[in-house]
Amino acid sequence: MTSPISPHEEPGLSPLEFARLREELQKTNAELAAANAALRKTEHELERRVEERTRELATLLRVSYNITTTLELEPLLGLILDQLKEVVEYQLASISILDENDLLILATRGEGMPQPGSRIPLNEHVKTRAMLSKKEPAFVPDLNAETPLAQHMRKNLAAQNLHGLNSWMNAPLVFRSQSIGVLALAHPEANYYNASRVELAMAFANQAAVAIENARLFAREQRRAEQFRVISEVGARITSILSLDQLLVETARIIRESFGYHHVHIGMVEGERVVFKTRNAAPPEDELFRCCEDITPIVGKEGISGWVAGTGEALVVPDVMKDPRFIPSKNDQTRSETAIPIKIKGQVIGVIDVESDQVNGFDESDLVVLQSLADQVAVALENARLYEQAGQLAALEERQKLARELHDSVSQALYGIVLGARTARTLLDRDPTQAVQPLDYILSLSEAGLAEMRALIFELRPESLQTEGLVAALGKLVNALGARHPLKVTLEAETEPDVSLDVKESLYRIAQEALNNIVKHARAQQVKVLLKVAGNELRLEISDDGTGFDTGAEFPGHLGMITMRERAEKVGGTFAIESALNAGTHIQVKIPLSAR
Amino acid sequence: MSIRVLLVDDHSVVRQGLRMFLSLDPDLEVVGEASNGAEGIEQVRKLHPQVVLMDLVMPVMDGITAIQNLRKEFPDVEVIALTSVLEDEKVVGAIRAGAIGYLLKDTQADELCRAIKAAANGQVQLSPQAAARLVREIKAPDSPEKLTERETDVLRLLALGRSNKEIANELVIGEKTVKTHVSNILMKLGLSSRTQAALYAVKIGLVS
Repeated sequence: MTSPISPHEEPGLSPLEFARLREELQKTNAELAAANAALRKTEHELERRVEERTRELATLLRVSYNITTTLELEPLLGLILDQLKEVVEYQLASISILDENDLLILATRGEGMPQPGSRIPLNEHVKTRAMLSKKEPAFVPDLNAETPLAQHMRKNLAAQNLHGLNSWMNAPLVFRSQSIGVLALAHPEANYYNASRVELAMAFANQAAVAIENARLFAREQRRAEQFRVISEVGARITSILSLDQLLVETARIIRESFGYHHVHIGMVEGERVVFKTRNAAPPEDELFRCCEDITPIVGKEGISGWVAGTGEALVVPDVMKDPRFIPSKNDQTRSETAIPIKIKGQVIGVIDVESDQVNGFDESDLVVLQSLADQVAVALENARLYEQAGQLAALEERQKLARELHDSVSQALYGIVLGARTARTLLDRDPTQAVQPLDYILSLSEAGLAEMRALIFELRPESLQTEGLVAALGKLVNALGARHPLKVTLEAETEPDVSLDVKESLYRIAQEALNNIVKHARAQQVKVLLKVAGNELRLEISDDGTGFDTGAEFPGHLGMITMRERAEKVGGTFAIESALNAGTHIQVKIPLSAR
Repeated sequence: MSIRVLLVDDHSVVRQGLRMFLSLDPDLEVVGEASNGAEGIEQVRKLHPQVVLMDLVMPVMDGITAIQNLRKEFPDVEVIALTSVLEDEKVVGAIRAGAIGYLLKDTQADELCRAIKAAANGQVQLSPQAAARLVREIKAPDSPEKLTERETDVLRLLALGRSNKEIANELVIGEKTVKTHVSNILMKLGLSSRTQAALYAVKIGLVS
């Protein structure tokens, strides 16, 4: 099919606009080459690093899956107390551990005992402290006795509102020659706790000590497993998040929720300041990011984040009150803080800042995890930047292609028109009858130029494939080709096929590539383009009577051939090419109509 | 006798337009056409043109390669590079390869005839902007063989855009002698065209 030429269909470009466009396009060439080279290099580097990171994460993930049993300390200690009762009786019993300057109660038995999790400040309990440092049990066989310890304990129990008790003992929980806690027992019967019962209870105390240590060890492992899980989670999410702000907020949220840290902020280095991004990007009702609203520390000068951004080294401040770098803010409950640099190629681009409401809130493993997260964020940031750059590059490439096509077609036609017009102008003065030939030439060039422009404008607006359809698009392509080259190009197409825009675009691009190859390499005289529905498939066939080539060998346009095949396969179709030397080339694309 | 011109351009519409336009000038005769550099060289062998209008971006053999080969085989045939703005950056390459000048495809058509005639006379014609840019690119040996006084005179006049005939008249010597001087200058400076010699003269401050 052919489409009649009508100058009203397309928005025309004035010569001025046209010249400006051409100039602009030319300028992009140099930019493009530079950007291209830089991108290739970065892309390669990024690919390598992403691969590396993926391997690490896979390993970490395996480790975290290995720890699957849950070990709960409280039921276990309760069990120890229950077993103890069968050997050494009690009315009241408790197991507590030393936690900083408190005794933290972990398990109890008997009426009126404080809840597990309660704390007893050790400061006032001189006797208990002495017992713990001696690592030997203390006991009062008869609380009614007039010994100092008996008097002390009577008062003590009364203060806790515990009555009817006449015998009492305390045994230290010793692990690796360290007192880590206390087993306390009380009995209504005077003289119940004697040396031999105390010794028996000691054995259970030791058991409890081992259980507690195991549980602590397990908790540490569990925490590490959790940390690894967080690393993998961040890694997995990072790959799907492309918006920078979203990425930072998500990362901060995961860190906070998984580790229970007080505050998590991620700041980026902008000029000479660290600007915290997470609070701006988070929804306003989100408490998580509220703190230090107005703080944008100067790199290398202000705050802990500023120091880290300046030095590029991670920093742990166990007690912020003792560190002059700490900048306190309103209602701040921060007691310790750590900041980790986010680096790309040795350059600090941001800081992950984590605050805890506990003194000594961070240990070595926290640092390892946070550093790993910082590295991932760095990769993601670079990724985001590359995505942006790749987009720009694609646009530049598109413009360069357009520039080439303008050069190859319209600009040559325009030059011909100038020459023809100049000739006609001169001949009109000399012998007007001779002006017919150059005028005909101008006319044919103008028509060809118009067809070219339509094809080019069409390429600039791929949506016209939807509004005008594939058949019209192929028509323009074929017309432009016939006008530009000494070729007879025909299009045979039925009505517009009922397929998706993706399929149409693929077929259009394949036709375009095939026709380009024919012009460049085939030295053909006739080209046929056929679009038809056959049975349950849509077929696009392009054949020429050119030189052909050996399909088994490397040949010019080889890459284009691969691209065409990929385009066809991407929309569920097949691509076949038949050619032989001096026997022309036949290309057939089949798209199953069920696949639309 | 009219000047014999060969057109080398891969766009047939451009060749057609050029032929039509140049045929208006009785001093010019388009003796043939070629659609790429290799064909162009073949046609020069066959048709012996005085001036070749050479497009730069072409399949099979590009314009710059063709100019290099032509200058080696036919030092008397002058080549004018005819380029689109898009290929502007290739101009330096064309001049270095030995083109006597270059014209943009936007150039006023009248100037085309004038440029062909100047080239046929061995006159170097470059726009000041182009010359400024090209001077930086011109490469002559650091310590070239010393030119004689007469050769220096010829080089100066050549750089001022004079034809061989004009130089001969001014120095009161024969035209053939001028040609010999020019060949010697090019050989001593290791350059391949009058244009390069003219640019060299500008570079060393012989003319401004």
